[in-house]
Amino acid sequence: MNCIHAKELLPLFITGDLSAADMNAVGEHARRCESCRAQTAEITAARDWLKQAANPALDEDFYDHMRAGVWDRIDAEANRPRWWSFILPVWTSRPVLAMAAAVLLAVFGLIAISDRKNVSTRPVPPQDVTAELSAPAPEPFATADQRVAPQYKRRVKPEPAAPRIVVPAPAAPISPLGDMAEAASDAESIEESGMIRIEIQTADPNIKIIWLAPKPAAAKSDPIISTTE
Amino acid sequence: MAEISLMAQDLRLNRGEGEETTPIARLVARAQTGNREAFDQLMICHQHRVVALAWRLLGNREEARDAAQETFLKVYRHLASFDPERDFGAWLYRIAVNVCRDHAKKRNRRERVWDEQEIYRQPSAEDVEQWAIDNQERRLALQALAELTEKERAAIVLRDLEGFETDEVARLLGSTPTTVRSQISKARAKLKDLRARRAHSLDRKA
Repeated sequence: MNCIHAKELLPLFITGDLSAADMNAVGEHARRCESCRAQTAEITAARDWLKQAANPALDEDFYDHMRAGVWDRIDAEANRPRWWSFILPVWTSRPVLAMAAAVLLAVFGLIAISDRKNVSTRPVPPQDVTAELSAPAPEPFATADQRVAPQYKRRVKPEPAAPRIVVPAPAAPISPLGDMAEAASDAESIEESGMIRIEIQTADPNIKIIWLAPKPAAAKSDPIISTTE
Repeated sequence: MAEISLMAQDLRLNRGEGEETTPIARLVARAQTGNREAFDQLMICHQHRVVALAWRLLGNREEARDAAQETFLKVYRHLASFDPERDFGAWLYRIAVNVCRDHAKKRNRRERVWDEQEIYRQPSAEDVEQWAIDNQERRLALQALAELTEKERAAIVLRDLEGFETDEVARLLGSTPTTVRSQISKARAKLKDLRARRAHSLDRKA
């Protein structure tokens, strides 16, 4: 064994970390080679120096403080709710936080979309009958014969400046004759005063729209309009 | 305290058969039932070696304390599932090495340097001179360890300073004995050169 090869193995030779054959070969070489012997002594001295010097030499307060810190953390974990202790390490990660925010947004978005779908899929009347009654001529409902059978719900949308009554076609058939007759008897006194009384029954049976307007010439023959479900 | 001093020596990785009822094993069994005093005794028995390992691998007291705390915290968390048939010291050391390696990775990201200016244990009036010499040697030792790569440092600390066999070091580091031997060889050669350079510079100053 030459010096170059022996010096490569010397760091392991000093603690016997070589195969038996290498240990014998290096040992034999070192006995004959002063340079390798000197190098062996240097490596051993460096190792011994490190073992002696690399000690922290800390006082007992340091260790007491260290153990107290361990117990503080143990007690803090014990007092923490279990689900929270499970989630907390995960939530310290920013990507997880961002992902959770994205999932929340997606959930809210889905809720909003499904809500809108529910609104649009409700049974909506295929057509709304909108009657604009502007005084003094209620021409669309001038006569009882011209009444259109209401089939859907009606909506009333009053406007303060120009009164406008939106009457969606109700789903129910025309109101019974008894109601009409009653309405007609009530209207007689109004008719005498030169006014026309228009009654519109909304989808809600408790809501009836009554409209008083000056009697137009074309509507004199049948001033009573009553559309009910 | 006599029991504790006996327990402190019971930290070797490989224990022979029939040694399962050591004081450490009894303390582990008591700590597994939730006995806080037993776990505190376990910490007292192992704290010097765990802190020394962390200090040698990380190079400063603060990180060594944090790493030691985290090590014992992990031990406490998983103590209930620890198999009493296994070697508690080996298990504890494996956790400590992993915690220190995690700390070292974080430190590398923060680019924190080794703190070589720390002052350890205030001296008494009689041994001020010896304290100064020891402190200087300690700083030089930290400087020398800081010169090594992280893997070389871990290998040399566990092999030469903690006294583990090469195969045990390989198991602790999750490496192979051949790789560990190579790392130890390089580390010893570097330390020898560092010491020679230091002696040369001292001779020139003189």
